[in-house]
Amino acid sequence: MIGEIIMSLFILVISCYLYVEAMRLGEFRAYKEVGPDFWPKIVLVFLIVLSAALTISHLIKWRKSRVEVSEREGGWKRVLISIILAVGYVYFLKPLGFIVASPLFIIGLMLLIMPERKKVIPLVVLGIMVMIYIIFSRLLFVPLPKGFGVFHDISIFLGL
Amino acid sequence: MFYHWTQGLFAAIEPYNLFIIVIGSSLGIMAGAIPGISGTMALALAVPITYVMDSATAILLLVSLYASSVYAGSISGILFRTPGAPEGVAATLDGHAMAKKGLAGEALGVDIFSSVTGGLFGTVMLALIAPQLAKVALEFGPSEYFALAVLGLSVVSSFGTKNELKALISALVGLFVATVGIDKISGFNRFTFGTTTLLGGINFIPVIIGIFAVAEVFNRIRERREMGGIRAKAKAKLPSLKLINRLKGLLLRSSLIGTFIGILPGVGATTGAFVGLSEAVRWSKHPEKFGTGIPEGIAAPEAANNAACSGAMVPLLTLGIPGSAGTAIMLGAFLIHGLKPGPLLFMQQPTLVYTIFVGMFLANLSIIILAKLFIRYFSKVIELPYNILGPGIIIFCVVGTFAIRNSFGDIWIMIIFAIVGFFMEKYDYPLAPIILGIVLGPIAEENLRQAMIISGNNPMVLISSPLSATLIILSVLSLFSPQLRKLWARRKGAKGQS
Repeated sequence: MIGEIIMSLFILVISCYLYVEAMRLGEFRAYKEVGPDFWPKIVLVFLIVLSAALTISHLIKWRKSRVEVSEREGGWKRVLISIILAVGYVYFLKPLGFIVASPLFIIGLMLLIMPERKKVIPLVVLGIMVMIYIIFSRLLFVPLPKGFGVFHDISIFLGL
Repeated sequence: MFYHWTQGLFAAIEPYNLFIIVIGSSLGIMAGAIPGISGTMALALAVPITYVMDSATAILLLVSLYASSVYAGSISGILFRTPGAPEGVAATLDGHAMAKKGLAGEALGVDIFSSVTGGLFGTVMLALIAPQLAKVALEFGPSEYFALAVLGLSVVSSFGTKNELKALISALVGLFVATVGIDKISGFNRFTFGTTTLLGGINFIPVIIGIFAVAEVFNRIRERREMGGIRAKAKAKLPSLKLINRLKGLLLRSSLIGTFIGILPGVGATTGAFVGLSEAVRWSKHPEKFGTGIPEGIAAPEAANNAACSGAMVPLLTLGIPGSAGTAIMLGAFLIHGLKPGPLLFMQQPTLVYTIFVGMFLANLSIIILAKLFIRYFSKVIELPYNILGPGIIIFCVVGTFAIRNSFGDIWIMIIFAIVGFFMEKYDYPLAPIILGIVLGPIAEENLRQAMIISGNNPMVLISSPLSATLIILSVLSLFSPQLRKLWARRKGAKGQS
């Protein structure tokens, strides 16, 4: 329930902030009432009202049921690390290129989710890389990120 | 009309297009059958592959994938009691009961036959209804289009959620996301926060890939759900003429129900399957036998869900209003290929429309052959554990997103929405309304503002024509339909007691 409250409160706060941003759009108004701020304001007002209503209803439920804060669920650490890995992968994809960043990401994620089967990791890395290379680079002629400097040279050498 | 039909037929049976239909159906069957990869996810993953195709081929790939994934959800349900997709849940009850009796082959055969019958029936209805509806829609002006977009959005309250408020919030998040970028009417930048990446708006495909594919991988990593180690040894046996004769009335009724449910926006194939099943129980002389392993318990939901899948194409093609996550993704694919679904599509691209009709027909027919083949080799595919599929899916999503326009900004948008989607799903905010919001937002905004400017800012213009007024009333009814249903049930209960 705490998570639910934080989530709806988060939406409420973000909506309020965006409404303030939308008000600035009104300064440029050249179309009387229906300027660029017209529609976003309608959407954000509804969003503020509904998320506030949801937060209040969660708070009432929480107080009534007196749920203890100890709603611990497993897997959060694992998913948080996998999110960090994915964000890191996207961050390093540009400088390292597909050919270097992707195997590192696959190895990291597989060590996280199946640490007991390390032996299959090289095979999986190879399988995924070859599959993506064939589908995107060879069949669809989509250029894959090549990276900078030496990584760019490696990508070119491998025909990406 | 006949000319367009023949043109559509010739376009659909071109060797390359036939090959694409077979590929689409095969991918759809695989995606639908493997628990963890839904038809919607497969559609989102397939969109980047269509960039290099011409528009007709791309749409054929997606419609065949869509139609076959709805069928395949029940395969693993029948064999392992683990439906691969929500659409297959209703057929699992009797299907798995038959499999336990040693009749897995017969159950799979009835499943294939009913799905194909329902799909073909739905496609015929789509081809009959859609052109007529498109003619009516040609008369629409900005007020009507705004009302139509509102009607499309109003269905989110019945999107299979426990909390209607959350569904509405999801839709509003989507509506807001659609406002980011340069405003088409005034030319001002909105919510771009000084970045050039957001100037062109938030591309709809990275959002879909993020919330439907990558978020699901995160979800499964958290729950550590695994699918490995399941083996199947079964061979589908198509039903005998005697059994077909016994099922024919039920198949027709379920197909009709399914088509109608599919046409209703927001009520998809899963609801179609359950309504089909419950009506079969209601009309049966032996309702007590349902759930014990009878072919009727598979035929009814499977005919209904495949018919609903074809029915759902009616509002998409004729009005440009998607009624489900699957059709919303398809709308995105139409837009990527420079096509705008709606009544004008029937005038400007009639050959394409009829190619889609014929393509859907062929896709449903191909299920008979492909499903039998697939079931034979099913064990090989289902053996792939999610631990291997997961990293593969994320890499595929990243590269697929990059392929849209070689933009790293799009990959960031995809990953941000994957995180947003993960947390929203965790706290029971349905994800499909976000997509509806993003798709319908620009239609609603542009037409609302146009209507207001034309009328000199008079809001009454929105209900000035009988059609727009009717659509607005329907939207309000649709928005409050869960409450109205509860009220109706309470009244009925009170009457029953007195």
